[in-house]
Amino acid sequence: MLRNAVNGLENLLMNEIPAGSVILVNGAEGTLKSGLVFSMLSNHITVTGEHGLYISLEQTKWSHLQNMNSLRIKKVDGLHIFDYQDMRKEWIDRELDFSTMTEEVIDFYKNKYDNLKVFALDSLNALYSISDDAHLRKKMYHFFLSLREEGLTSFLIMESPHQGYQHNSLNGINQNVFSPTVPLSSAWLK
Amino acid sequence: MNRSIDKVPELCESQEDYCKKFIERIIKTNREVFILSCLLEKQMCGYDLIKDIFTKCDVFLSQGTVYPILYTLEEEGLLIAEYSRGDMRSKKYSLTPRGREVAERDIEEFANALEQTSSLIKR
Repeated sequence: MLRNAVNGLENLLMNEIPAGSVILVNGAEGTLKSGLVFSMLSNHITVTGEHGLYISLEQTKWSHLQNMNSLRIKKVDGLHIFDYQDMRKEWIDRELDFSTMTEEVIDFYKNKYDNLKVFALDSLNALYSISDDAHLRKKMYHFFLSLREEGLTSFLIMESPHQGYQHNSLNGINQNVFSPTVPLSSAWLK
Repeated sequence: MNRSIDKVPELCESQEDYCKKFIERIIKTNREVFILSCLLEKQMCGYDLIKDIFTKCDVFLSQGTVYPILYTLEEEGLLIAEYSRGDMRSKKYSLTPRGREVAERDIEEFANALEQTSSLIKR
């Protein structure tokens, strides 16, 4: 159903995205990665009645919603948005383990909403840049696997410096943890 | 079974640890009740709540488990959040009138449940 969540996506994806897949959405700045993923989740939730979680590491919930509103993408009730702004402000003097916290946040929403099935993280770059951890690679690998184990269809947004650049900045993480990769370019969006 | 008197402090200590583990488990699985209980006393931000529960109960509730509770309670209309004057760093939460009702009810039900459980297992 996610394949039909946005007009034209079915032309890019040959088959339906299997539930529980971890998908990397990779593209240059301005290729509307966040808009595409948010729109897919919103439309999917509208049709299925499932719940979803969208974690924004770069923006606050409100600025993200404003951006989506300017793109005329509506937020549906079953789509929950979480941001780390308060945490980052209040714990400014402490080192926070964002990958573990993200797992905890997912656990919370999964326990609260039985049918939480889709998840998005915006963005992987932000997760890397705010994590100051010597064991980051190991933790991230564990994080990606835990997404699969949770059975969540997950979209991980990643910005690449320019078009055609693939996800080389994954800090050496085995890319087999991802299912398909959706490379976005402004050409495709036209 | 012979128990040496020397072992008594060790035994007491391990019983204390055992008890502490139970308390920790109870608090962690009922975080919402403990958060509401703290907010009955005064308005707090996420940082204050974690610190307060740690000081009172010696249990650390991680940030990833506390902030989602605050946000959903706010969405449900049980909490209101506001920045303190001159401090945009922390968002303080306080109970709405409905939140206060829910908090008082939940705390009472939780305490009753603990009491009943305790009487069930004590022989």
